[in-house]
Amino acid sequence: MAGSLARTLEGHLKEMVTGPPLFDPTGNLPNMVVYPVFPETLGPDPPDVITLSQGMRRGVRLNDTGVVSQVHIDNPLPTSILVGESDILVGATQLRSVQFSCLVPPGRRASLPVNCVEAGQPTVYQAEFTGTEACPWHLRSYKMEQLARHGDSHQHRIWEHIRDYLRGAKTTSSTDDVSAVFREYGADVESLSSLFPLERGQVGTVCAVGQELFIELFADPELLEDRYDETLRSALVEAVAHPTREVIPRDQVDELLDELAAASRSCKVLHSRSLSDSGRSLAFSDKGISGCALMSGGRLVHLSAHKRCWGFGRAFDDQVSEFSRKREAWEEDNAPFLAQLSRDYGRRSKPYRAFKERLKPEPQRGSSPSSKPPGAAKPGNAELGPVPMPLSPSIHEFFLRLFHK
Amino acid sequence: MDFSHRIGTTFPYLALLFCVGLAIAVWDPRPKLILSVALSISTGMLVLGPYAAAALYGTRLQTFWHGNLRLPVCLVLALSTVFIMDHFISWPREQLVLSALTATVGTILGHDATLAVLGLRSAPGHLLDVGMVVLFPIIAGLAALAGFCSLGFGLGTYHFLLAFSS
Repeated sequence: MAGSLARTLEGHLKEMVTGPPLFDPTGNLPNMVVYPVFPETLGPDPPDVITLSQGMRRGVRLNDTGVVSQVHIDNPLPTSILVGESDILVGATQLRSVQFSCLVPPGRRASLPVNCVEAGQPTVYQAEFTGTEACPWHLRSYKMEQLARHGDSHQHRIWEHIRDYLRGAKTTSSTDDVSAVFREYGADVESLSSLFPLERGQVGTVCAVGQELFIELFADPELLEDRYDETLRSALVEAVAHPTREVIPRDQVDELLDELAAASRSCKVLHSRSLSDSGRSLAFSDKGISGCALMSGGRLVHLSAHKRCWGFGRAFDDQVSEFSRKREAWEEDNAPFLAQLSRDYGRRSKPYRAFKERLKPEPQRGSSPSSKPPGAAKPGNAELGPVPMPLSPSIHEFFLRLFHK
Repeated sequence: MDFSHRIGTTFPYLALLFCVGLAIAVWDPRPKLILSVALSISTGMLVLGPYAAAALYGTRLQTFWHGNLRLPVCLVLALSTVFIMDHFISWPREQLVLSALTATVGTILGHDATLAVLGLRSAPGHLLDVGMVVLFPIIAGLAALAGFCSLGFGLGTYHFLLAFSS
């Protein structure tokens, strides 16, 4: 199965075109260059999937199960939800980061595989997650390597990695919360994000940060549009927290998609017991590239990958004129292609907006999907993992307080 | 919070068990009733409750009947254990009823305590106090025994003081 998934991914990557470099011409951010990724052609139909953050605004609920590696998701909407790899789930409980991308089918309750990214905070049973946050790429790439090697990411290593990462980024957090780095550098990240606008029809980005390449690809431009802020913040925070004056040259980026396809041949299929019927996730690591991909219905839904290019970085100042020249040349050569892509994208974006506006929780699920306890699986949902539920919440609370050191 | 502070918060419940022991001593001063009550509550919390939780969540029982099998499973486990014991020991009816009642309460408490233990054990930073997990069910049983013994102790002390005053 892993081989056929890798071949599908390879086919998808061959249909991608890497765009011109976006960079800060003033040199204030000399260690980051972003390359948009476009599809060769764009189909007429928008996707019938929405992202997690969009879903949460429309009734999708996430609750803490009290177990570090699992979060309960309830999707009352009549459409699938894309839960992106490493999305940080924020709420009045321990912060979690999604292990790998998943599709939650319509009307499904399921358990999401997650990692704890806040070691000093205990879990709060049934606490609701209220939002999502981007995850710094350093942690994402480490998790991908772990997944590709072992099929799982070891929680204690993740906590140790976060401690080292926060120390390296000169960020303090009393609970070792990985998102503290955004509190430290949030203002810079916010102001610099305008340097890298989203292009119409763009389905992915390759971010060259220092001597690293971070790539994120989606099946449809609408999905990237909804997640572009997180995608950019994830890479931008690394550029701001680890300032250098070097960046990877364009020729390394040109080869990246082919190298990704080659690396994906040695992959592992990842299993999510309660979401096994809605897509396959795979993790791969080879020749300095590690990544995760979610495939569904014979096509790629989401891919995120990282390549270490240590020793290949060159001074940004030496490359500025080359970047400008290549950008102008690319735009001139591909003007008809970009215009066509923009038209196709325009035709899709209005129906997709209308589709999102129409989405409401299914009536038979009730207006408050969180009113039922998370373990109360609906009939016919026996494939879900059992979620422990106390007989009396007050007795459970009493014992939690009594047994808590 | 340290151990003594946390155990202090359970005094109202321990006092209730103490009163139950005292009431049993007044009703029937033979030790077999109080022993079965004390053992049932401790065993329910330490053995039957965790066993019920394991049966529910270790298998896929929890996914049936909208997740409402928890109470029936706890009842079946507690009552079947008491009836099996009755088969071997042949308890009098009142002892059987008291044992069944306290074993059921102990199993329910033990089930929820097990979920609390699992939640705390999976939390980072080793927040679970294993000593309290083991000692609290034993202390609960001992509180009932203490209530039972306090009647004899009180009567003995009364007679002792009476002997001094006469």
